[in-house]
Amino acid sequence: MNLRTQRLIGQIVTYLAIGVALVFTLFPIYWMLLTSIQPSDELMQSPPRFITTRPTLEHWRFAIENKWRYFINSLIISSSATAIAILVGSLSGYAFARYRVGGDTLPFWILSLKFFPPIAAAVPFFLMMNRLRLLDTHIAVIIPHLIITIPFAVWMIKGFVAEVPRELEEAAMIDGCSHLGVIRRVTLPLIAPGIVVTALFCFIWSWNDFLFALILTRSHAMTLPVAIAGMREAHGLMWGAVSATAAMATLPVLLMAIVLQKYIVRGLALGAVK
Amino acid sequence: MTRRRRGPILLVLPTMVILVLVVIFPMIYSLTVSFRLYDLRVPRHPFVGFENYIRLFTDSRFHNALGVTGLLLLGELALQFPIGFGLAILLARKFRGKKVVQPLLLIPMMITPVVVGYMGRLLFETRSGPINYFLNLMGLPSALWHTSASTALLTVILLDTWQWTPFMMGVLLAGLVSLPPEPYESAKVDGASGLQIFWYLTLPLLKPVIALVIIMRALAILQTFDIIYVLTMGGPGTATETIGIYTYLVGFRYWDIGQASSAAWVLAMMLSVGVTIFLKMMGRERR
Repeated sequence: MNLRTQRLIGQIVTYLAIGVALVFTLFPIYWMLLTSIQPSDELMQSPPRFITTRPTLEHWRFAIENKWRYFINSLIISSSATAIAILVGSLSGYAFARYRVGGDTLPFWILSLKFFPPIAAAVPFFLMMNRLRLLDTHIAVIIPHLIITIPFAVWMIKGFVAEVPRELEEAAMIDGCSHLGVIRRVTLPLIAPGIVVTALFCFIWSWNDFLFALILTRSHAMTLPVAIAGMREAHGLMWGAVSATAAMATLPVLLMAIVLQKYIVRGLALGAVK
Repeated sequence: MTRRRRGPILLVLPTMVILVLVVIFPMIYSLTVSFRLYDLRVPRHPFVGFENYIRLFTDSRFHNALGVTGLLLLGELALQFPIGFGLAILLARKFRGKKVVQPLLLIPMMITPVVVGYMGRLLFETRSGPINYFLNLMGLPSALWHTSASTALLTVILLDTWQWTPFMMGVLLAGLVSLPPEPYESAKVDGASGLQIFWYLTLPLLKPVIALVIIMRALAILQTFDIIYVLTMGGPGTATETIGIYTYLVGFRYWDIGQASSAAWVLAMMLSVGVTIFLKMMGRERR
């Protein structure tokens, strides 16, 4: 076998394996989207239908009419948890990167909170919110979500600030800029894309949370993931309706993932790789 | 302290105050609760010392939860690492369409885990789900998947593998493309085979990244909750009852908050071992 055929076989194997991986990755998403637009009499047939010629929006109408308020709840909770995290995270992220406040210990402790188990915090939060009569309010979920968003925001922003050369700030300072002016005119514009990336991730982490919302809400402040999990019992075999609601929860995340493309790995590996 | 040093500390202050309030305070509170007989349905919560912990460690259901979580850990890593690594190696090559394929393969890990659990219910549906249909096409019998105690955990592992193999793939790929090219050039000059290069060059060079993805996944797997809640609620029986599900059921189904707190603390202690290792590795990475 000469080198050329060897390379050709390598190419074919690559394409084949990647193709299989793509099918495995995308099929479940396709199946959920398909189920959400299939008429009820086509669902759960044996053999299953892999395409539909009669797409319908009845399930989506059901999802929007009945589950919209949970979508809004999720939106309020995730935006708030993100906004607070970005606000305090930018300040401390900058301080950690530039002044090495607390040495390595403090930022590493904050990083370690990324692995803090929600189930451990859920029990005391339930008791506290119960006592404060805050159960089933947005605040009750926003506060514990800060455990998810703040450590992530601090760590990511610290990384983005560290990438801005210190010399740039010093040069601007020599040119007569005040320290605050430097941060506003030099550093902030440079890390702005990083802050947007961080905010989108924070939003997704909060949006995807299930445990805190499950324990701290009942109905009024219930988030979309809790509503989806609850549909199992309440709606029997309404596969179309559940699929449409699940798709409704997935679409915002998918849109953000498109924006985040280049940063997904960095965000999930907490900046350990670029 | 000079004025120059006070500024930075003020910048860090809001973060620290919030974290103390949302992490340290609840954890201390939960620790005190774990030493009490704390049933939400009765008004008094007497101090009982280590009784909750003793009950926990003698509860066969907790032993089962430890075993299930351990199996989940091994099963998931055994699938996700090789598949993720294999795909990372393929994606590190040049081929047409790579720019489109790569982000598509990363999608699953962004999707809400509850939704993934629900997808599992759709796909593994025993009577008319597409997976059993494909099995039948290949001449294999239908499986009961999450509805049978013998295959439920496997179903959870497969679903979680769908969601998290992309994480392994993505991080290992980032590690692969950032490897220095020089050792590879000299290895080629010396006539090393592809397999030799992989075994003696790529693997050792990539060791820190490999250790990092494995520990990060392990820390997440030990907390598995969402997918199982939607798919099986720990069942059938206790076949998929992880530590997370056990803690939830004890606390919020049986209202034994004291025992749930002790279970949560045991889980937190287990995780802290992993987190310590993780931090050591992150520290080494940065130097």
